[in-house]
Order: sequence, then structure tokens, then C-alpha cells
Amino acid sequence: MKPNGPIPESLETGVLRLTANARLGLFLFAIYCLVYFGFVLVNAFAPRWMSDTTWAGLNLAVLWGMSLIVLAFGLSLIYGLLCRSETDAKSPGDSSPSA
Amino acid sequence: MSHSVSPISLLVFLLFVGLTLGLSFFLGRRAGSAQGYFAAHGQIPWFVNGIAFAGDYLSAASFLGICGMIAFSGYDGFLYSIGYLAGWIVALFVIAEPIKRRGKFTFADCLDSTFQSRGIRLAAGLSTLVVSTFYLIPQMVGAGVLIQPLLGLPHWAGVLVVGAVVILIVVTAGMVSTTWVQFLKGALLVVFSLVLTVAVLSRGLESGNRSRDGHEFLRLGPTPASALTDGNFRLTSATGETWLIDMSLAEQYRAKKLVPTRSSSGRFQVFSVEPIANSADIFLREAQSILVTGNGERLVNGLPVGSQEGRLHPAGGIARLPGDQARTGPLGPWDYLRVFAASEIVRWPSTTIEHPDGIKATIYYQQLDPGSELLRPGGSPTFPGIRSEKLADKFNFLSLMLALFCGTASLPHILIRYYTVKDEAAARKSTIVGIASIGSFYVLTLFMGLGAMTSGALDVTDSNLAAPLLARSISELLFALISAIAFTTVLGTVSGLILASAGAVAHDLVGGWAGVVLNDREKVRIAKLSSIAVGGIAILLGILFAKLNVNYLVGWAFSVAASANLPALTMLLFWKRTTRQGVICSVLVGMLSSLGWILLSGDTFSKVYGLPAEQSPIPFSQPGIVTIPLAFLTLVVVSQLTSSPKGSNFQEK
Repeated sequence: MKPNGPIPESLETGVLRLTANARLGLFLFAIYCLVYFGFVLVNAFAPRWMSDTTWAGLNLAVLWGMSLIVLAFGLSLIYGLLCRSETDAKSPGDSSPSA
Repeated sequence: MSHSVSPISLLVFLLFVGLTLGLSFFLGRRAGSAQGYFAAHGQIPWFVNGIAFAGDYLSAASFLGICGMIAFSGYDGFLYSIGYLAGWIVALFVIAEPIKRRGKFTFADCLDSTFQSRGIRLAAGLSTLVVSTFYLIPQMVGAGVLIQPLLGLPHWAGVLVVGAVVILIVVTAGMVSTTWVQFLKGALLVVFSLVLTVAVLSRGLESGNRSRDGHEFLRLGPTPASALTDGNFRLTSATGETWLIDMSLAEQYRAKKLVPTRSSSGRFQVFSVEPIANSADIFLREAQSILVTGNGERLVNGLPVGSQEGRLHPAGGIARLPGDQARTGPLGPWDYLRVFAASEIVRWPSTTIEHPDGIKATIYYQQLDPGSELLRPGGSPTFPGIRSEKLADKFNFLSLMLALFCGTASLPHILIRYYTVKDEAAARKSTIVGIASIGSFYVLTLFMGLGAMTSGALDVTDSNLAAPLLARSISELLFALISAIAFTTVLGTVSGLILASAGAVAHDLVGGWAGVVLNDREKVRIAKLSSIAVGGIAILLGILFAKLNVNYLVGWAFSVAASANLPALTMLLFWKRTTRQGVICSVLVGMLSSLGWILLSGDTFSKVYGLPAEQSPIPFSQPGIVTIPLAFLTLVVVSQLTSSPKGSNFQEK
């Protein structure tokens, strides 16, 4: 417990301990990475699939691409809502996020 | 291509730039101290900072380059939009809060927060300078491009004007005014892109192949294909004009599916061949040409430059809408894409041919593509890899997408923006605002690009001008506004870049590495002097690199940033055994390897040095997929080699 320390990682010992916010961030980051690199890999290795799969007259390239932009915004909003404010973050131990 | 200057656009433009400058001087008066000059006293409200992120990030490359790339080759430009936005996810989830927590003025502060090492300061300062300079080139090129149609000045003059104005902003003002300039232009850019998109959608799509200047592009035929080898065959238009095929050149042109002809008055005119399915007949479509003779004389479309007809026609249109309708009327965004996919689109690629008499010909010809083909990845010369069977080409694409993903969160001029807000929560919130505004803009790029492609207003010689010319095809006022915004876009981004470089020189190199003890006032003075130097270099490079698509150049800046900065930054945050030497080596190896790779790449060979791309020793042009892991690896290996018993990693000097 470091009630007045602005630095949650205790640098003095070289141990980097992740805060709840950082863990949440990394989790959302992993989700986005899957969707993004999925998109990139399909583009590289199965480009035909990108153009030949269509839904409501739009091909997968357009749909997936647009979704990536929307997903980025969606995830960042979720992060913003679930992140604990800094006053909470300074008291580690409690792992449940509060809006 | 020459452009006419209209007084309205000039007035609106000057008003706009004047207001921006006035505002920046007004606000800049308050920034006397180093804390004010570099970080705006950390007092920028998070919402303003978020929009300023958009202003900082949505550079000339995004607006001019991406729209131009989509307008010329379709979906591929949008891949950049996707990659540029994805980078913000790294910034938000991984970098934002730690970097705010650990730094004061520059990102070197964060890298160095654990070690207080002069070596880290030097490496980080150098990498800031290299990345910012790389990023500056496309901005300056973009500035020159904008000035041409607007003020009728040559490219170099545009570069010079922007350089001078930006140096003035940065020297007199610093971060406070830079932030407000970026806030203003970020907001305006997003809003007016929306206006432009709404205009494109409500105009809908229209078939016909007419130039915005009123010229109707000819389509002759059907003609038997065998006629093309007959020197006496007369091509005849509906209005009775006739052309004879120029047999002395026909052989050379045939290889490119082009037909060189002379009109009855002897005027040189090129046509392109459009095959008709299941038939031996063909159509001939009017092409445009620029001939440059050995002694520098130029003939445009067969006539001397400057004469009434001796100029290129703006172009780009739709050959056929679904159901052969003439126009669609207003369309919703999804319908727009659907109708586009089902239409046949006329693009204007170019090719060069050298005549036996030494004349260099550049031919812009009509190429018909199904819209669905243009909405799939891999159509542009930038991304041949996607449809190629060669593994190296695929790696080139993967490499770029990786660099865009990792690059954003390692751009020094973006990172310094985290020091202008008061705490981590504000850093986080402003990133979210940034993602919202930047994301909305990138969604719009697809519509603006496709709108420009079919507007009949494209300058076939310059992809960078697509967005402003699209606006001109809608209204002169909108053109003036969009150009002015694009110009302030350059101002905003360039100020940010120069400020980041100046900070690196004053704070990291002189103050940190050389260990010169500076008081506040001296630090600001050194920063201002280096602003002038960096600005001067940027002007020179902007003039030298005038011909490259600006977006393409930005891709390089991202590669260098991602290779040099991101590995050190993330490992420092998440790996406890990172050592000082590891950080230094990682930054240097990442920077030098990516830089070397780019300078030796096939793209640089062909586009910068003018050598054949095959001579390059590098298998593919984008470095990221090799150099980013290399920098990570360097950090791990060096850290392992230099790590000492617990705790002592953090002692130095």
C-alpha cells in the first residue's frame, strides 16, 4: 500500500506490477490485435476471400475495415468507462473495476 | 497541370491562415517558461487536447495522401486509414498513462525515468530528430502541392511559405499556441470532411465521361482491331473529325495497348484500346499526353503549353452505372458503396514512352474497371504484394501494416502531447476523444476518395490534389475552405514536429546528454534556434522530394518510429530486467536498421535515386517486420548480457 505514491510500479525494487487499469487495457488490446492482425493476414494470404465474400452488396474488405475503425472506438469507450479513477488506482489490492 | 486562381478562394484562404496565425500569437504570449513552451504548463483541458491529437495526427498525408490514393487506385488507400487508426489502440491501452506518469517534456524523459542515463538521452533525442525529419518531408511536400492550385505559385514557393510561417509560429509561441492551432484545425478538418462527404453522397453517382472543364472524352468505334495496323485507316468521330495512325510510333505504343495518331491538322493524339467482349472489334478511348522534347519544349495534348487547348483536362468518371441509368440522385453511405461496386469506373493511370527521336511522352489513358474490383485490396502499385504470389511481396504488405500499428504510439510529436494535460486520467480521456475524432475522419476518407475518383475533377498528374479538387467540383467556396484547412493542417502538424525536434535538442541533447546546465530561459532560446534549423532542413527536403505521394513517405516515418522507439518504450514498461544499455542499443539498432533498410530499398532506388529497383539488395521495401523484432531482440539480449544483481540495474554514474 502506497497511499501517496504516484508511481504504482515500485521502481525501487525493479518489479513492475500492473495496475488494474493496465490489465484491463492489455486485455482490450489483445482483442483488438486479434481482429486487426486477422484482417491483415487474410488480406495478405486470402485476398480473394476479402472481395468475394459479400454481405448486403458490400464486400468483406469494406465491412471488416469499417468494423475495425468502429471497434477501436468501441473498445476505447469501454476502457474509459471501466477504468478506475486515479485516486482508486493508487490503492492496489482491490481488483474489481468500478465505473 | 496548371490551375486558375480565383479571388474568392484566395480571400478565404488568406483570412483563414491570418486568423490561425493571429490566434497563435495571441495565445503564445503566455508561454515564457520552459514548462509553458514545451508542455503548455500541463494545463490543456483533456477534450481540447483530444481534438488537438486529431489536429496533430491527421496530417497532410492523411487528408491529401489517403484521399488521393483511394481516388487513383481504390480500396488500398483505405488500408492506410485502418492502420493509422489501429495505432491509437496501442497508444491508449499500452502507452498513454505510463508515459504521462513518467515524463515531463519529451518521450526521452519516460525512457530515461528509471536510469537517468546520458546515453539514453542521446539515443532518444537522435531518434526523435530522425523520425520528425522523416515525417516533416511529406508535410512540406503536401504544403507545396496545396499552394499550386490555390495561389498559382510553383511547388517550391509553397514549401518555402509553409516553412517560414511555421518557424514563425514555433519561435514566437510554443506549445500553447501550437495546441490551439491543432485543436482548431482538427475540429475543422473533421467537420468539413463530413460536409464534403455529405455533398458527395447527395450528388450521388453520374454516368458519362465528361471532364469538369466541359470537355467530353471521345470514344470512337466500334472499329475492327485489324485497322490498327493500317496506316491509311481513318478514325472518325461523331462530329466528323478524323485521325490517321502514326505508323512510325505504332509498334512502340501497341505494347501498352495505346494508339498514337495525328489529326488532320497534324496534332498528336493518343487513344487507348478498349476490347469488346466476344468480338474482333474494339473501341478507342481518348487519352491525354505530355510530350517533352530534347530541348525542353512541352506539348500538352499535342499543343504547346498555355494555348487554349494545350492543357490537360481534369478527369475521372463512371462509364456505366448499374441498369444503365444516367444518374442515381442522392445516396446513403452504404448505397453509395453498393452502387459504386456495381458500376464500371474510368480511372486514369499513366505510362511513359520514349520516342525514337528522343521525345519523352507521358500518356494518361482511360482504364475501365468494375467498381467491385476497385473496392478490393491490392489494386494499387503500392500494394502489389496482396495479389502477388511472391512471399517477399506479401511480407512487404505485412511489414507496412505492422509499422502503422506500432508507429503511432512511438511518434515523438504525438507523445509530447501527453505532457500538456494535467494527469493520467486526462491523458486517457483525451486519447479516447482523439480516437473518436480521428476514427470518424478515416471512415470519411473512403467516401471522399471514391467521390474524387468519379468527380471528373482529378488532376491526372498528381494524386495528392484529389481531395481539394473534389471540393472544387462541388463549389469554389468549399474548395477554398478545404484548401485553407488542409494548409492549416500542414501548419499544425509541422509546428508539432518542429516543437518535438526542438524539445529533443534543448532538453535531451544539450541539457541531457551534453550535460549543459540551462536555466529556463536558455532552454527555450536553444529550442527556438533549433526550430529555425530544423525548419530550414524541412524546407530543403520538401523541395527535393516533391514528386512522391505524401502518404507513402509517412509510411517510412512510421517504420523508423516503430523500430526505434516502441520496443524500448514497451519493454521498459513491462519487463523488469530491462537495462540502460539494452534501451540504448535497442533505440540505436532500431533506428539505424530501419533507416538503412529504407535507404537501400527497391522503392527508394526507383523513386529517389532513379535506379532500377532490381539493383536493390533488400528483398522488400518496408522494414518494419524485420527491424521491429530486431530492436526487441537487441533489447532482450543486451539487457541479459548487462544485467547485474538485483536492483543495481537502476544505478548509474
